[in-house]
Amino acid sequence: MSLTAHPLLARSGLRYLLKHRWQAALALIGITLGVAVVLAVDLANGAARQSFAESAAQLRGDATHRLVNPAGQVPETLYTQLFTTPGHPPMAPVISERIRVTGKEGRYRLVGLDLFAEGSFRGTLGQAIEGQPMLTDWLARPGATALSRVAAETLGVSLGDSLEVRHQGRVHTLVVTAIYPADAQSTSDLLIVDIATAQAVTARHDSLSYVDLVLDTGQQEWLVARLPPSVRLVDAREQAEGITRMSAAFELNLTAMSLLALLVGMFLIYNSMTFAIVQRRNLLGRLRALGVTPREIARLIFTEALVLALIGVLLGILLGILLGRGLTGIVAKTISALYYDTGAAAMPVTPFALFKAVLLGLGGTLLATWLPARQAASTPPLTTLSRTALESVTRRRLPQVGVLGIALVAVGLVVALYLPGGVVIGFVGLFLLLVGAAMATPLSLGLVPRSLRGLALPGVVRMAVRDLDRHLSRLATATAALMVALAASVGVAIMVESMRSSVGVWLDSLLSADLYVSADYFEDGAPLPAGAVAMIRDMPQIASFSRYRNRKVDIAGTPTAVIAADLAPRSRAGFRFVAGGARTAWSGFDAGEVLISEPLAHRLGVTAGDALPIPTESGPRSFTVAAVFQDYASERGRVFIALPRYQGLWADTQIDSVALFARNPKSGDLYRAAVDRLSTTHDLSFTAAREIYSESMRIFDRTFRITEVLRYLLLLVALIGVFSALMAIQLERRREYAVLRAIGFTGRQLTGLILFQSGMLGLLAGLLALPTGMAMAWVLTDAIQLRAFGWTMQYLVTPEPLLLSVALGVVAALLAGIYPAWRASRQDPAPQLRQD
Amino acid sequence: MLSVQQLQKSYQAGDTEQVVFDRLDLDVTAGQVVALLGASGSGKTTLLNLLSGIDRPDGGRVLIAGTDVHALQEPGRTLFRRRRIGFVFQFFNLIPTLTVAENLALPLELIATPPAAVRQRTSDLLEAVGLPHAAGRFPDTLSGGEQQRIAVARALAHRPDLLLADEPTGNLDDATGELVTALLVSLAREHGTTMLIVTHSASVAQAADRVLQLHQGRLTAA
Repeated sequence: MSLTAHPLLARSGLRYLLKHRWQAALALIGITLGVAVVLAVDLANGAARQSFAESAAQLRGDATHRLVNPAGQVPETLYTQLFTTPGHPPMAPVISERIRVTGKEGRYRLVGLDLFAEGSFRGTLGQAIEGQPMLTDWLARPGATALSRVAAETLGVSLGDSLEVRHQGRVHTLVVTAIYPADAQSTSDLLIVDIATAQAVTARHDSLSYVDLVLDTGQQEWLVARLPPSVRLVDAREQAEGITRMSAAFELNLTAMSLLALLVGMFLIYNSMTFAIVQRRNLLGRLRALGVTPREIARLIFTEALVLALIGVLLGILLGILLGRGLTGIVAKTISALYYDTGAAAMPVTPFALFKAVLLGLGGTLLATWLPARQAASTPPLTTLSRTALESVTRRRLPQVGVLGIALVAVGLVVALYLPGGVVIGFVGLFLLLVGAAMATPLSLGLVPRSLRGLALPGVVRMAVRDLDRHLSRLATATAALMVALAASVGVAIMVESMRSSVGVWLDSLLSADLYVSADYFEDGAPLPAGAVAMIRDMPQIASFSRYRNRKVDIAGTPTAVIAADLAPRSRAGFRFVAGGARTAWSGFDAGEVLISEPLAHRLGVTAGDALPIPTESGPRSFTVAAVFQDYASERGRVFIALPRYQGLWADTQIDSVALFARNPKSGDLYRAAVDRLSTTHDLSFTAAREIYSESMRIFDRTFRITEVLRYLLLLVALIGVFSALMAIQLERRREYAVLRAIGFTGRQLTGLILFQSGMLGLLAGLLALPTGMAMAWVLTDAIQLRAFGWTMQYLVTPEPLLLSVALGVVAALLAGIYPAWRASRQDPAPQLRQD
Repeated sequence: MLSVQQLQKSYQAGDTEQVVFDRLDLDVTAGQVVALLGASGSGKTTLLNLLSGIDRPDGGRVLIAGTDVHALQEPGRTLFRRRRIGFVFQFFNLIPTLTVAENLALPLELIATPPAAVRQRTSDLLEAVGLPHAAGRFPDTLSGGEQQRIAVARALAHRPDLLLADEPTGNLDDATGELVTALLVSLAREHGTTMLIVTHSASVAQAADRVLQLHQGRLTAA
């Protein structure tokens, strides 16, 4: 069966679109914006992933495998031992660390390579460096570094310039001895140095980050037989892919929000198509009388929709690419802050991303057209249905559609909150909830004129209220679209606010100490200089203190923070347990068991009492989980282990940071005493709890910046959509307005009528968005965040997003009413009255 | 050609049932032109809608060239109407987004007539209704009389067995109305098409072979 209409019917339909080009253009906006937002988010996600993949591939070179230590570093002795064994495969040691460059924002990657071992690996990189006239410098001069052209531009340096870098509180000077001609954005934060320089900068003289290998199957066995239990052989490509998988939930959240924009766009398409059908009900009736079948009518409507969709998708793709460029930087920054280092690489527009956008745009449009097409197909021949009769049909169906909508809301809540499964199930529930709420909107809208019937309203107001009833079928969809967008905005705002509040409460209880001392800025996790802890312990102003050592360990394929801690009672009091009681938790902890964070428990599906295998320097060990604590520090999770137990297994006695509790917290002399006593001999960082709190909240806000951007984009889609819907309605009523002008309505009165009507719709949409948005926030906080990140949080409703929703609804609708009101008030009524 | 047997139709008006036809019978032979008179609300348009399958009766049968129209399902009735019935309406009901020629071509395209034959037939009909120059114009650029002449041509384009005309001159002045009536009847006779024409006009009734009066759900010779 052909999906398109008879050529003459199709021509008739397309001429209708051309004749009503304003209306068609407004319908296009829905498709264009929906597709643009989805594509932009897809491209931005892809750009971040590709940037990392490019950078990883470049650094990986021809390496097939990698030796890593899931519990920390690879001992250099292992490399030496393997390298001196006859029959060894090609191997190259690498040190990779994050450093800061003085005067520059953000962190840079310092990669130390052994040029003599590089031959079989990073050929291009090696050649680039070897090809430079200063090769002798590279090898002989400590601190020689090679940069890509992009990195040199980013840092504003040229050959021979010096760069001051900081690593864990220590300052070093590097000299730019080579600039290789690479333009990939992924190299913009990369500083390549000789491995000896890397060892000097990182003060790591006996360990490596990893060892790259080129292996065939036989050599794998050879190698595995010679590895200590703490070191693992991994596939180099799989390891990089595993890292990009860490941000999957974050990317899914962004995608879901972009799909929400498409959903709002679909409402707009539905509205436009319904409007076009209502406007043509007589014409369709004529066609039916001439023998055009319902199926042929449906095909006509689908053909029109298809033409609109094709144009809309094309425009959406162009806009999406532009928008994607804007979003790429924000997404890359967020992913870098939360998951893995990635630059804002040039955004690749892949055929697959375009295919998805086309599919979603065409599919979404045709899906949104399905109901209007059915409605058109059911037009009786020589339609005898008047507008009033049509509205009465709509009104009769209101209770059924409304009840179905409410039922869908309930089903959505059950699916999201109670059905087992991942984050996708949560989003399915969320979408059902939104569609259900949209379906219930007309019922709520229909109740307004009825409830106001008995009131003695002024003339214009009475007309506006009655018009709600008279044009219910069209106004309801426009209102539903605005309601969905506003509800999404309310939902996301409440979710972010709830999370912000939960994180605030958590930080407050966690940061119970008066002063934190670390070797460098607290996020770097550098070890404290030897002797510093003893000096702190001897300070008379201190009542108690906690000691911490922070390590990254690979647990179930994901780098996870293992924190070895010797905790003071007041530090212990800051923990809130969600599984396992405090008493058993601390007795278990002291006996060598571990405390794990809620996201880790959720990710691994373990709880108090379960066993958790953790790789240690002494090989893999199984730990009993003493309790699960509430934690928002990392979605990958954190493990707390007692310091003595850690020191036994990792053979590491260093300490990263110390939390100090003052004898007299109010006196404020602890800070001064600590600085006086320690800063003369050591380069330390002293941070008050309040500073850490502020910095953490700043990071939190930065993390949710992309969500905010998407929230405003969604509102923009709805705003333009409602403008288009109201505009179309007002345009169709030109003759009605001409009659009002003819019987003596002044231009001002007409403007008042149109603006009042529009404002009333906006107010209703804003009010209806409140319960929907709150339900959505419930799903987002209780289901989506838990399913995606393993976070539970308190549900907190503040008045700000609610008031903003209502105000936005009214403003959006008033804006939408201004132009039609202006036009109607200035239009000469005579031509309209003469028209048939 | 047309046989109406025991046709029943009633409407629900509030709490009361309004009977339009109670066992109505009618027989029209092939090629006959029948004028149907009646007061407003007597059921003339309802009868045409029942004959064409647009509306459904409560009982009885409508046979057109031996086919029981209401024994067909909805798609079948539509396809039957497409092939066998032509319509002329009071308000012309041309498709505003198609040109005059395309309006005439539409019924032919719906029955999959080859393009060359469509062009020939369209051209012949435009000549027959005296508007060959109007082929590329849109309906809203024509006068009421011209629009109705195009509507007559469209109704006959696919050579229907039965032509139903619902007050085709009701929206025209007397002089134009007479011209359109003359055209309609002469073309129907020329094509040998059976025609049932609802009218208030005496001149239309005079041109018919038979004149029937519809009153209180019954047909009587006028």
